[in-house]
Amino acid sequence: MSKSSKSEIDEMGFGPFDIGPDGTETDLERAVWANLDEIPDPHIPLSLVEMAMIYDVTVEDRVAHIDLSFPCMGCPAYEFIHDDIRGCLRTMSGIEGVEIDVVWDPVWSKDMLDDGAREKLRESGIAL
Amino acid sequence: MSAEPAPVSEEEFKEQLQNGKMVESVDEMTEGYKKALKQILLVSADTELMSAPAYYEQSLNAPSLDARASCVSVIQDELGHGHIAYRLLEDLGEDREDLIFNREPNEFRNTYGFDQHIDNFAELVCAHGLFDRAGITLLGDIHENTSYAPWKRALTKVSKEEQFHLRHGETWMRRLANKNESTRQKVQDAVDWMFPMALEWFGLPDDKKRHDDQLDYRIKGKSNDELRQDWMDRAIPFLSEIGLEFPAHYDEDADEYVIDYEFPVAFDEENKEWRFDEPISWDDVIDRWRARGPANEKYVDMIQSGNVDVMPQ
Repeated sequence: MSKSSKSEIDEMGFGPFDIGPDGTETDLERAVWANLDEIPDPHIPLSLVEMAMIYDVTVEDRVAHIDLSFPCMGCPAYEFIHDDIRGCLRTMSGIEGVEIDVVWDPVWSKDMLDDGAREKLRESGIAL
Repeated sequence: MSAEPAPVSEEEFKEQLQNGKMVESVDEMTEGYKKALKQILLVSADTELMSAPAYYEQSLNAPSLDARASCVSVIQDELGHGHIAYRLLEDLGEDREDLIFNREPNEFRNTYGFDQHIDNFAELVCAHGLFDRAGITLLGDIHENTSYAPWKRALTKVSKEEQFHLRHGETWMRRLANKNESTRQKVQDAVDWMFPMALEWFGLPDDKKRHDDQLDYRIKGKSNDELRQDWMDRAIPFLSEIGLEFPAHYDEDADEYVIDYEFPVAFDEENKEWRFDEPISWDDVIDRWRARGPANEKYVDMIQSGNVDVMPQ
C-alpha cells in the first residue's frame, strides 16, 4: 500500500499531504483501502492507491465514501476508474453503497508517489 | 556510424538467438538481423503513427466529454508509440525526421486498415476494439518473445496503454450494440468490413511463406497463423457476447477458429465491402497493400503538414 499518509510522507521529506490512511481506520475501512490497492490504473502500471489518487476512505452505515482525485483534469479514464471502484467495492461484505467524491484539494502531485511507485514507473519506461 | 561485422554467420547467429541470446545494440547484429529488425520496426512505427490521423476526426465527434478525452488520449498514446519505434530505428542508422516528413505517402508501410476512412463514431470504437486488439496481439508476442532487448523494454509501457485503448473500444462497442437498433447496425456495419481487414493484417498464411527471417532471428515469436488465431481467440468471444455477426466459427475437430470464406478475397475500397464470392491470391493482396488505400494521402498529409481542423463542422 502507498506510504502517502501524512506522517509517513513527512518522514520521507515530501508533502505535507493529508492523504491516505492515517492509522485511525476501522477494519472494514482498512479492507476497503486494501481492495482499492488492487485496482489498476487503466493507463499506468500502478494501483489507484499507489498512484496516490485515493485521498480518503470512510465507511458509514454500510456506505463507502471515497475521496478520489486525478493527476489531470481531463483524465482519459475518468469513467473507467469510477466504474472500477464501484464494481470492486460493491462485492465487499459489509458494503452496500459506494459514493465517490472527486476532490481537487490538495492538487495531485507526483511528489505524492512513494519510492516503490517511482521504481515501478521507471521500470515501465515512464519518466517523472 | 558503421558497425563492426558480427563474427558469426547468419545461420550461427539465428541458432544463438533461438537458444535465448538477447541483442542490445547494433554492434552485436548481423546484417541480416538488422535488415529484418528494421523492416518490422518500420511497419510498427508507421502503423502507430498513421492510426493517429485515422482516429482523429471521429474522436472529435465523440458523444460525451469523457469519451472525447479517452479518444484524444488514444491518439496521444499512438503518437508516443510511433515515436518509440522511430527512435529505435534511429539507433539502427535511420533518420527520424526523414522517415516521417520526407517520404511519399505510398512509401509508408502501415497496415492497410489505417489507409481507410473512419466515417463515424461506431467505426472509431470498432477500430479501437478490433484493430488495437490486432496491435496488442502482434506487439504482445514481440514483448514476450523478441531477442531485441531495447524493443522488449520499450513495449512494457506500450502494452499497458494499448490495453486501455482496447477497453475503451470494447466498452463503447458494447454500449452502442445494446443502445438501439440503429446504433447496433452501425457497429455491425463496421465489424463487417473491419473483421476481415484484421484477419488480413496478420499476413500470409504459414504454408505460403517460404522462410521467415523475423521468426528465425526471434524478432517475433509466433507465426502469422498463430497470431491470427490468437486474435480470433480473443475477439470472437467478445463479438459473440455482444451479439454481433462475423465470418468465422470455432471448429471442434480442428480445435481452432476457421474463416467462413475462401481467404483472402477482393475488397471494394470505395464502399468498404468485401466481395466474399471473389477469392484472390496473396500476390493480389500485397499489390493492393502496396497501392495503398483511399485515405493514405490524406492521413500522411495531416501528419506532414501539421494542419488539422480542430473545430470541424
